[in-house]
Formats: sequence, structure tokens, C-alpha cells
Amino acid sequence: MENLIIEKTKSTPEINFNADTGLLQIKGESFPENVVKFYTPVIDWIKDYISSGTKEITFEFEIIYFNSSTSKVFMTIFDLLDEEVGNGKSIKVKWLCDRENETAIECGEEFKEDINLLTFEIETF
Amino acid sequence: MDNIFSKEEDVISKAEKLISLKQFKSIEDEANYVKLLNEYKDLLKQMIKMVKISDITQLELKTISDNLEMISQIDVLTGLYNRRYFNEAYDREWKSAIRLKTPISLVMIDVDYFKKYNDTYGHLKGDECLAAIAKEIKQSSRRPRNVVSRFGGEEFLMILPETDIDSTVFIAKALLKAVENLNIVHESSPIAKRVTLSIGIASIIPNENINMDIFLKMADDALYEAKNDGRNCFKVYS
Repeated sequence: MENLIIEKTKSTPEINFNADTGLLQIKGESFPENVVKFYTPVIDWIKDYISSGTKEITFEFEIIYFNSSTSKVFMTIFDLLDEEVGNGKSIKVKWLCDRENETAIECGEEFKEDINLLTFEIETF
Repeated sequence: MDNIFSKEEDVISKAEKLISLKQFKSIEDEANYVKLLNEYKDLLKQMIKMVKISDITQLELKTISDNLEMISQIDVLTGLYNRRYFNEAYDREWKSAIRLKTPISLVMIDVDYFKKYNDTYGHLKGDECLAAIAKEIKQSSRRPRNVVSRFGGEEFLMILPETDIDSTVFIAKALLKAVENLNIVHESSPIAKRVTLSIGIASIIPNENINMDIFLKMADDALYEAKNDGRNCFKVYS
């Protein structure tokens, strides 16, 4: 399966999904004009990747700023991953943020609260 | 994914489909409805979370925006309002005075021989001197609605809404006294061996026929007169 690489723009994050290592990274700011258009290929790639029988996935989110629509997309992704963990997949989410960025930490904690099976770690640097 | 709420729409269409089938008495219906309800509960939970996260980020943006607004209005050295804010406030108060037919006064203040002070004691001392005087001007203004601003280098300007000439003169006298009491040594001043002020005052009950720039010029003219009259004094435009 091919890697998914999307360069970051002013309003969309960098996407760097490595099919070989299972490291999926979303990095930057996310307030796309059309959130569906931007994230549909991203979610499709994740679904394909999971169904391709991969073993371990580490999903890293390093998001400085995101809008409400993006938060909904993230929760959709977390739900999807949570369900796959229920199906026996090994998936870990790392929510990475600057230790000074209290808002980002707080948002990570909010996401974590609603997750059941998926490992969700908040890492500060 | 057609839109971010496609799952909610999906639940609604499923519910509508069940209703249209008109079969409400079986155990299967009950099970279907329980399933739908649970799905919707999850989505609603997600929606509540989304709003909560949104509130967190909005609060941060609001705080940043408030701070930026404050920074854009304040003179860094003295902590008084800057000229930009003065312009906004003057426009607002002038219009309000016309509408309510109340007096408005301007007090224009200049530090006497400030260039000589800077040349003698250096710019750091000059800054300290301006900050100390700014503090006295702020204190002399008394009412929170009064706008005290640094207009330029060593020039300050106060807007006193709903204040007549007598009250304005009282403030000017008190300010001259307060700066005298500060007793900031100024060896190169030709008029006193301490820092002094010249003050120009203009007071008016404005109407639509008077231009606010001309009223500002009146305060400036009064200040010019105070300077011509030996400084360390105030003059009222007449």
C-alpha cells in the first residue's frame, strides 16, 4: 500500500502516513474551508490501511490549532480506531503538545475522556 | 462522508424509515429503537464534546484578542492611552457631548524644556521623568471616564467629558502643584531648577456647527499661550 503524504498549508495540517512502519502523523493547524474535502481521502486511507491486515499502528496528532469541524472529524477517527481495537487491532494514539500550550492539553484530555478501548496518550514536550 | 453530520442524518433517515413502516408492536421494533437511540446518544455525546472543545479554544482566542486590543491602545512607556486610542475616544466623546448638550474639556500638557532635560540627564532619565509625570496626570484626572493619553513625545492630552471650565481649571492647578511636589531636578531649565509643565485648556458645549479639530486647535493655542507667558502655568482658550 502506498504512503499518504499531504503537504501542510496555512489552514490544513501535514499528513504523513507511512504504510511500512505504521506511523501515521497529523501535524500543524487545521481549519480547512472544506473539512470534508480535506479529510475524506485521509479517512479512506485509514480504513483501507486497517482492512489491509496491518499489525500495529501508532497515530500521532500534533495539532496547534483546530476548528470545530475538525474536532468532529477527529472524534470520528477516534471512534473508528476504538472500534478496530475492539476487533483485535493494536492501535495507539499519541496526542502531542507543547507543555506551555494548556489549551491543546485540555483538548487532548477531552478527547481521551470519551475513548473506551483505544490507548490514548497525551505527551508534552 | 458527505458532510460532518452525515451519521446524525443517517440515524434520522433510519428512524423515518421505521416510522413509515407502521410496525410498532413487535419486539424487533423495540430492539431497533433501542439501537437507534443508543447510536444517537453516542453522537449527541460527541456533539456536546465538540461544543465543549470549541468553547475552550474560543475562550483562548478571546483572551488573546482582548490582550491585543489592550496593547494597541496603550503607550508602553507611560501606561497611558496612546494617540490612536485618543482619536477614537475623542470622536466618541465629542459626538456624545453634542447629543447630550453637555460640556467637554481638553487639557493639553507639555513638559517644559524636556529636550534640555534629555540632553542633560540622558534618555533613560528622560523616560523615567515622563513616566513619573504621566502617573501624576493620571491621578489628577480622577474620574474613570476621563481619557488620559500620551499625545506625542513629551505632550499629554486629557479629554474630560461632562466637565465644565471651572472643574477643568481645578484639575490643571492640582496637576501643576503635584508636579511641583515631585521635585524632579532640572538644572538646565531656565525657569526653575525642577521639572515644570505648561498647560492649555479648552472647554465647550459643542454643536454640529463646530469642528472637533478646531476645538483641539483651541487647546493647542492655549498651550502655546502658556508657553509664551513664561511656562509653568496654565492658560484657558478664550
